[in-house]
Amino acid sequence: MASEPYAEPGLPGGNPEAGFPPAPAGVRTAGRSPWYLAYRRLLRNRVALFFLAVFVLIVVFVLAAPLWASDVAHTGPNKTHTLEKIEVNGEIKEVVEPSGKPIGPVWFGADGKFFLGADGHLGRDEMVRLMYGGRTSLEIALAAALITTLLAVVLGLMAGFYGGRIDTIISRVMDVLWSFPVVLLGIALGTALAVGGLKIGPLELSGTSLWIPILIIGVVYTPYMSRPIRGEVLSLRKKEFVEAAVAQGAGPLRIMFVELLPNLLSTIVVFFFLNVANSMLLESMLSFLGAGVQPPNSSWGTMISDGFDLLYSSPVLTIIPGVMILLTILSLNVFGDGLRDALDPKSKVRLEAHLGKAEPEGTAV
Amino acid sequence: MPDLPGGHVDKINITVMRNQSTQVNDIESGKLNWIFDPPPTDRYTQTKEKYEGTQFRTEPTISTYYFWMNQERPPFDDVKVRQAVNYAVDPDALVRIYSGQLAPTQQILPPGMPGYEKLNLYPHDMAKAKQMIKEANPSDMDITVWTDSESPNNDAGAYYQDVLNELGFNAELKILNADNYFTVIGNETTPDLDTGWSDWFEDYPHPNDFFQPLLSADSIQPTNNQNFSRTELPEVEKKVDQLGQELLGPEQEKGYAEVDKEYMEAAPWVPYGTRTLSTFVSSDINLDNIIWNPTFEDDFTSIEFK
Repeated sequence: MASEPYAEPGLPGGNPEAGFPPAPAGVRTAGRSPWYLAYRRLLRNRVALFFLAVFVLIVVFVLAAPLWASDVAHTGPNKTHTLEKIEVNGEIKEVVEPSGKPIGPVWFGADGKFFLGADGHLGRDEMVRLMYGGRTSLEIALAAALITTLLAVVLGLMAGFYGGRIDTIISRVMDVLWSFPVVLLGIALGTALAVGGLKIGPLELSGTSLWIPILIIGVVYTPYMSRPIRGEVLSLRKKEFVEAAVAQGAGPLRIMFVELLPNLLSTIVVFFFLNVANSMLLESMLSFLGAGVQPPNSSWGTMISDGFDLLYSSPVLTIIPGVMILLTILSLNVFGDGLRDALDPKSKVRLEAHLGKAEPEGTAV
Repeated sequence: MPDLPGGHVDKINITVMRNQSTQVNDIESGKLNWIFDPPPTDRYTQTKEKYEGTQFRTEPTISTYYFWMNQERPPFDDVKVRQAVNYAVDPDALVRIYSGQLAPTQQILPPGMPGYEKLNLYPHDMAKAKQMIKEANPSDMDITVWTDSESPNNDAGAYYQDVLNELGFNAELKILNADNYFTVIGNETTPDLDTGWSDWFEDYPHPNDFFQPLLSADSIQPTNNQNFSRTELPEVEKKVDQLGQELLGPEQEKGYAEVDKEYMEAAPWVPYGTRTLSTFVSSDINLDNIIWNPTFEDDFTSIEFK
């Protein structure tokens, strides 16, 4: 087997076939950090970049909610317009018909008002609610994913590094949490907390606070991330660099957070993006079932739930937030996959080998 | 029922079906013969237009839908605030929220009840309502609005919250599962019982069925409370007790109409309508012979196949 130094295709000195000339003889190529190499790999993954762009567009869309509400729609997300009439292309129309049927999408027929129509009997602007609902959904998903990551990293590091009793206690608690079906646990906690809120010492949250779904989702997904981190720490703690740190007199905290944590970063980053997608999906499910975001606040999940009452006469009210959830989850998952491939190229080799596309052993990937 | 050539049914199978739209589909296809719930709001008009007279009939009820205001705590301990909210809520908007399955009213006794005399004490006037709130200057503007999750009661709660916010309150909406809504709001230990939705269908055709369980001091209970507004008007209650001991006649009915007005002047509630229900049956059922009772609804013994 030919022993070749690791070389990155597309980088100087790496791959003459790809159109990049090798480094001139005698000139030492500067070393590249793993992060830079991952960045270059990610740049070559057009599909992942496309879906990243989709996600960025969605974020920009929801961030523009206050602008659209104040300057175009001239209404708020919870403002009702049940008995109001609007002029659509010169024709006066009722926002909600006497039969209770809301007006459908009018696009720019009313200068941007009711762009996607009204949301039901209350005649709230669907577009404004969609934008604000997206903010809520993304806020919850991001905050919950951050909580999951924080808890999982701390618990995974402690369990893997200390081992023994600490590992047993943490792992069993995680097992108990893991043994509950996520949605059922979320519903149980959500319904219980929606009435009386949450009060732990100085921490007091009202039943309608967004922090309730955030905390629920953040906690229930923790075992799904802390387990793999613990496993990775278990293998890392036997490595020489940890022994060297111990020999230098480093304490447990320093070893965990200065020596081990940087080696876990690629795993954490990949998990974080997948967690955002999963958290968003769970938020939608909980809100649909009435245990997540509490009305009249909108999230894409509550909007599907509200639209469900009018599924027969106005299916668009269910389809629009559904498509937004689909696009967001798809973009995060595909980008997350691309990120994983970029940060952990070995997983790609394994996948390609499985599909019979692996390059010969020893070839740079 | 192949063995029965006609006439009344001798057996009724009951199926529990959560989705009201599926219930309508099953009536249309003949899988079901009768449904308890009215068609869901988004199919009500279409069902009514298509089947009225043959398979569908709207039915009156003796009921009042209302928002209660807890008089034991600010801001609703001030009659001016309660009256202002009555001016602010528009029953016509709520009729639309209920897809027309509601007749607007603004009083405690519903049409059809002895003693009912139409009142119009609070014609919708948002500007006047805002002015009254300004004058009352309530000490507590943070309030909680309670409603149940049943559609469109949840939307009625959201509309009410929006009206209160427009009046300057900081209203938070709490929507509870319909299964335990009345248990929760009927328990005095539940925090923040400021105002919320409720309804009442008559148990028997007498005005006391509304005034005594819903508005008398005796009915304020620590649990299973039904006087959600926690109303105590001893003078009016005396009249109700007195009238209740007399045989119902024109004079007593007049007395009850006065009681209705006196309660509404104190404004413990924002009544907004009387519910209309419906009978919807499959094409092989004889709709004309089904007897509707405003208290007990459809009489099952009158259901027969064509």
